[in-house]
Order: sequence, then C-alpha cells, then structure tokens
Amino acid sequence: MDIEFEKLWRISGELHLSLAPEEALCKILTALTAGEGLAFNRAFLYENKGGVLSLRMKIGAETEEEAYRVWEEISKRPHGLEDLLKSCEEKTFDLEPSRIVEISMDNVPDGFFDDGPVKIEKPEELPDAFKRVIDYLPAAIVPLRGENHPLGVIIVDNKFNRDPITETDIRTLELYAALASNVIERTILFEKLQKKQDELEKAYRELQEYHNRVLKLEKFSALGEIASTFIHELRTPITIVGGYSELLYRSKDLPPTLLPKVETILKTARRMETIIKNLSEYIKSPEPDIKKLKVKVFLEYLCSLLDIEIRRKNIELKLHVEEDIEFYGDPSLLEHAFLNILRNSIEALKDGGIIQVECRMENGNVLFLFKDNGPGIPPEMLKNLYIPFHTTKMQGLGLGLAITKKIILLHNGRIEVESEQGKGTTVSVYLPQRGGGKNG
Amino acid sequence: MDKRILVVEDEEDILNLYMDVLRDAGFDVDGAENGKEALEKFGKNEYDLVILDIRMPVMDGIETLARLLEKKKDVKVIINTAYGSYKDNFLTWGADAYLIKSSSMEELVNKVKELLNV
Repeated sequence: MDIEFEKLWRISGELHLSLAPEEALCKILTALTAGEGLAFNRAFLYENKGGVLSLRMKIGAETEEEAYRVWEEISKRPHGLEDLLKSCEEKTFDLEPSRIVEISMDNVPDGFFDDGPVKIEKPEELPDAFKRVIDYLPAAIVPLRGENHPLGVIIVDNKFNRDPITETDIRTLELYAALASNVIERTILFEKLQKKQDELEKAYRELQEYHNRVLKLEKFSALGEIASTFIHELRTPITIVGGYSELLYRSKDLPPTLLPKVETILKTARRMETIIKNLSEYIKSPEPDIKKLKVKVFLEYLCSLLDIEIRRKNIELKLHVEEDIEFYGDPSLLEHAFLNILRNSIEALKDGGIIQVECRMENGNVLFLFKDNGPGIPPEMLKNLYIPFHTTKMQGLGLGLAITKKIILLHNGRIEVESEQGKGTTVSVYLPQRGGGKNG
Repeated sequence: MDKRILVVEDEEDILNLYMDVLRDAGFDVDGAENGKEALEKFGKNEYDLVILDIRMPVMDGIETLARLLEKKKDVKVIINTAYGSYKDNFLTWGADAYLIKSSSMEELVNKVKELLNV
C-alpha cells in the first residue's frame, strides 16, 4: 500500500495544478494508463451532462499492435510520470463523432454512485447501462461523485496485456476516484467562475460604452446650451431690424422709391428669424421619430434636392446602392444630417468634381459613404470638425457637422471623416439597421 | 381712444421700437427700463395695459408682474420675451398673453388691440 500511496501522492500533486477541464481530465486518464501510474491499458471518462453520461475523453490504443508500439516508445524515452502528465498541458482533444457514446443515467442501477469502484469479470455481471460501452472484460467501473451529484464514470481495462484487475487495483481506484472527483469538481467551479468573470467583463464593457455615449451626448447638450444662448442673443437685434423695417414699410411718410429696399430688409429679417426658429426646434426636440426607410428611395430623394446646386457647379453626383436595404431612422433628422455632409462636399468642389454616395451593409450596420474628389480637409481642421461654431467658411455658423454628429448619435450610429489633401474626403456614417431611438 | 400702455423693457432699442410702433398705432405710451422704474410710473399714472419683458436687471418681470397686479388687479399684461420656456407658466402668474419676441410688429399691435377691445 505504501507504494500505491506514494504514486497517488505524486499524481495528486500534478492534478491539482490543472484548472482547465480538458487538461485536468487528460491528466486523470494519463495517470491511470501510465506505467508509473496505475498502469491500466485503457481508460475512458464519461461525464454526466444533465442526466446523460457521455464519453468525454479516452486514453489508450486502438489495437494490440498500437499498444505495444506505444509502450515501447514510452519505455525508450527517459520521461517520468510528471513529464507525461505535464504533456497534457499542450495537447488538444477532440473526439470523432463516431466515438461519442452516451449512457442515460436512468439506466444506471440505484445507489451506483454511492458505492466504490466495481470489478466486472463476467458479462452477466455487467449492468445493462454499460453493455453498449464496455467491449472487454474484466473491466473496472469507477463512479465519480461530487459534493451532491454524480460527476461521471471512469472505465478501465487491460485489453492488450490481459493483466487481471486485482483487489489492490480496486482499492487504489477507490482512493483515486475521490481524488479525480475533487479535481473535476474544481474545474467545473473554475469554469463557472470563468463564465461569471466573462459576463462581468462584458457587462463592464457595455457599461463603459454606454458611459462614453452618455458623455458624448452630454457634450451635445452643452452645444444645445450654447445654441440656445445664441438664439436669444440674436432674437433682440433681429426684432429691432425687422420691427423698424415693418414700421417704415407701413409709414405714409416713406418715399415710394425706398419701399422695395425697406421690403428687402424686412424679408431678410424674417428669414433670419426662420433660421433661428429652426435651430431652436432642433435643439429642443432631440427625440428621433423613427420610421422604416428604404435606402434607395431615401438617397434618391436627397440627391434630387441637390439637383440645381450640383448642376450649377458642374458636379457629378453618383449614387450607388448595392441592394435595396431597409433600415429604421428619423427621415427628417437624417435628411438634415446627410444634406449637411453633401453640402460640405459641394462647397469643397469649387471647380466641379465628383461626389459618390454609396450604401451597403457592414457587420449589421448600414454604412453610408459620401466621397468627394475635392481638395480635402487640412489636418489641423480635421481635429475641430465637430466643434460647434468652429468654421473657416465665410457663411454658416459652424454648426453643420456638430448637428450632423448629434443626429447620428441619436440614432446610436457613428460618423467618421477621412481626408487626404489634394485627393478628397470620405465621410462614413454607420447606422444600426434596427434604428437607435426609443421607438427603434 | 386714449388707451395708455406701459412698455417695460431693458433693451433700449427694443423699448424705443415698441413705443414708436404703439404710438404709430394710436396709443398713449410710456416706457420703463426695469421693474422698479415700471412700479414708480405705475404709481403716478393710470395704465390700461403693460408689455413686460421677463429677464431684466434690478427687478425681473415675474416679480414686477406680481407687484403691478397688487396695485391694479384688472390691468392687462402681455409677457414679451426672447424665451419660449416660460410659456407654460404665464397664466398662473396672472398675465393675459405671452409673445415671443419677433420682428412682427403686427402681431404685437393686434394682441394689444384684442386685449383692449379697440
């Protein structure tokens, strides 16, 4: 018994180093078949998976010739038991489908898992459940038991050298079963823990993404603040210009020659009022009204809106939609966002050029590409693209792309701008196909 | 018709504009640049209607409105502001109408006429 204890002690030290299930099972079976270990010819491990014992791993030769060849090879190498067990750490295992054999736990005799290993010598001693999986006798069936449930079964035999299974073997297997059960249960716990950790990591990543999104939107509420201040600051001077021009316009004292001029001032003031009214509408109602949209119809409509502008500037607008994609979005907000992008391209193409609009699916997102072959955006400008009121244009507030980005974010999408000086600019807009707003 | 109107507005150009427009429409008009000045004028003269800005220095429109109504319950008041955000509250303050500042003087004059029945 002393020798048996010493063996088990050595094996136990190795087994406890393994937490990955495959590696631990490999070690359990290798120790059973190694000459320095328990020295059986073959070992099979059936794992209890929801009431079914299914073959998880097998160690041992297929034929007698193979067995003797393997034993000879091993005997030539000066490896000890520990080295043999360590080799499990690099192995990969997969069972061929034909080898996947299952035993229903219902057919296993009552109390089977409460007892120790059993030696089966005659076919009539073989419990029905194991008849299909045991092809050589004598064999030993070793139940593995966890804290409160069956973990599985190990079956060992000496098919090739035909050694008997002794009482000492059974006693050693009994101790070994306790050790193996312990190791297997630990790997199961470890797996559960790992799964929980993965879940936690995923949840953390999601939270982080959400946090970033909230931060981005917060920036846009700052934009909203600025724009709203801006609107109120502008209302007063516009009121004064418009009010006085209206007063003059109605005045009997106004010389008739001045009437059209005053009318122009009045109209201009009204136009400014409309602009700031529209802007205040945008910052007031950021909740998108999501509808089902057809990409082709939507983009064709957008291009038609720009017809006059592009013809006047000698620009060719090419539309390329790979397939008829449907998606969910707020048509008026997206129209505004996309027109901003296209108008930037039109403005960039001072001497004419080509604008290409493409749309395709990419990783579950609808990808819109707006490419122009204009002069490109200088790198120092590229950094400030989305900053409100940051503009180099003579006209405009510099809110265009800031609002565009806000709209894209409201759809849970993202926008990217790539630009190469002298070659052109590409704006990519990714929108989730299912839409992003509350209604989506 | 001799209806008397007080315009309370801290922006001098707007104050002058409104006074010009309302005089042009035939009203008798006074101006005040803040709530305190408005209350002083209100103590000296009789007014049928007050046009009141909300954001003003010294005393804001909301406090001014409450004090004016203490002095004369039936005075008509039009809130006139650049901010749309108070629109839900003006009735509870006791004002009669709410206008967002705009270049349409016609809108202002029509509202005044409507409230004064002229």
